[in-house]
Amino acid sequence: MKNKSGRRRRNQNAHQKTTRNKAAAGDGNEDMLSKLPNDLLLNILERVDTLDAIRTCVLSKQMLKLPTMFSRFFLSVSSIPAYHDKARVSSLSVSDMLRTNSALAHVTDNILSTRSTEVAISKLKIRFILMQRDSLVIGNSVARAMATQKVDATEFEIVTEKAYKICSSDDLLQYGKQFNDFIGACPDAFAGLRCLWLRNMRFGELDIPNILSTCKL
Amino acid sequence: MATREAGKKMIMLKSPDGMEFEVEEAVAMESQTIRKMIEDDCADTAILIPNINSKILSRVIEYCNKHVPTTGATGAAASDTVAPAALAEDLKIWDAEFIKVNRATRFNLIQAASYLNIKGLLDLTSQTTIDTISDNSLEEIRSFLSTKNDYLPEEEQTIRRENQWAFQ
Repeated sequence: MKNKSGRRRRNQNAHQKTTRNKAAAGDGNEDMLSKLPNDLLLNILERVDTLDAIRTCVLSKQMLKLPTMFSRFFLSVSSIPAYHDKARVSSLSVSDMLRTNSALAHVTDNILSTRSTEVAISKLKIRFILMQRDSLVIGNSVARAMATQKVDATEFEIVTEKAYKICSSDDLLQYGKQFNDFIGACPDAFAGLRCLWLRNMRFGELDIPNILSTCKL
Repeated sequence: MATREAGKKMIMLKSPDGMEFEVEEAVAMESQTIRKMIEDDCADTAILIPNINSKILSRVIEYCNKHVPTTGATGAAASDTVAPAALAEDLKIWDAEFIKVNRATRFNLIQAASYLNIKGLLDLTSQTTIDTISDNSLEEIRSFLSTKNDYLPEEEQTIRRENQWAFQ
């Protein structure tokens, strides 16, 4: 009670904000996840990787529009459902991997082109297998997003079809060449990257300086 | 700032179902929303917390009581002898016990944490809700989150076709 007059003036803005929160709080008796207000659902869904979040959103019509409002993305080839099941992972064939990677590329393209441009992207991390067609889909959709939306902190983590253990010299050279083709085809995406992870690639003498200058590092 | 005696001043919180809770001001101020009300001098006698029933409000107060920094005169004895890391570990274990509640309670806690603006509680409840998603099938997630399938059959077919990867 004592410091009333001085404090009241100072905190007028704070009070207005409080009143707004009150209006937004909604009814406290619902127990369904999808009845939570959108900002709370987004707060929950952005804690898992994006494919898992989308799998959750396809559960109901009401939640289906949420992915267009995501601001943080972690799109990873390792999070496709089939990969969770250890038994299935060990029996995954090359064609399973191809399908998985294509789905990831498709989802990336879809989500970046249909999302609400009013929501800035604060983080965009994509982990994918270096496969020509999929890489181009991903690279082009990221470049397009960078040109038309506010995109912060983009990272590519590029893995290869074969693990290092079973890669021959030729494989390493081949992956290096594939990567060079990829970066040559989508320089704009690489120019906007914050971070780039590569593995299992062997490069020629001039390749690394080329990569660094394309990435503007 | 200097006028406030640490941990001494009490605040009355009222739930819409008529229950009153007397809590230390420092505990109530774990809620940024209440903190603003207090700083705004809207808290002379009692603060009515709309939308949060007494059952949920008492759990929220329990959380704030545990999480209020024990730097004041009352908590000094306890925190002097315990290392910060051990204290954090203790809080973690306490949180894990605290959040063992049914779905309805957890969703109510999420809303309460959001309205009262208590970041720690919002993180705890949201993370717990999402934790089991990655390793479960769609039907398991659906039942865990108690999300209703509100598609018409033909709509569901379209969704399944367009998002085939998600239904593997």
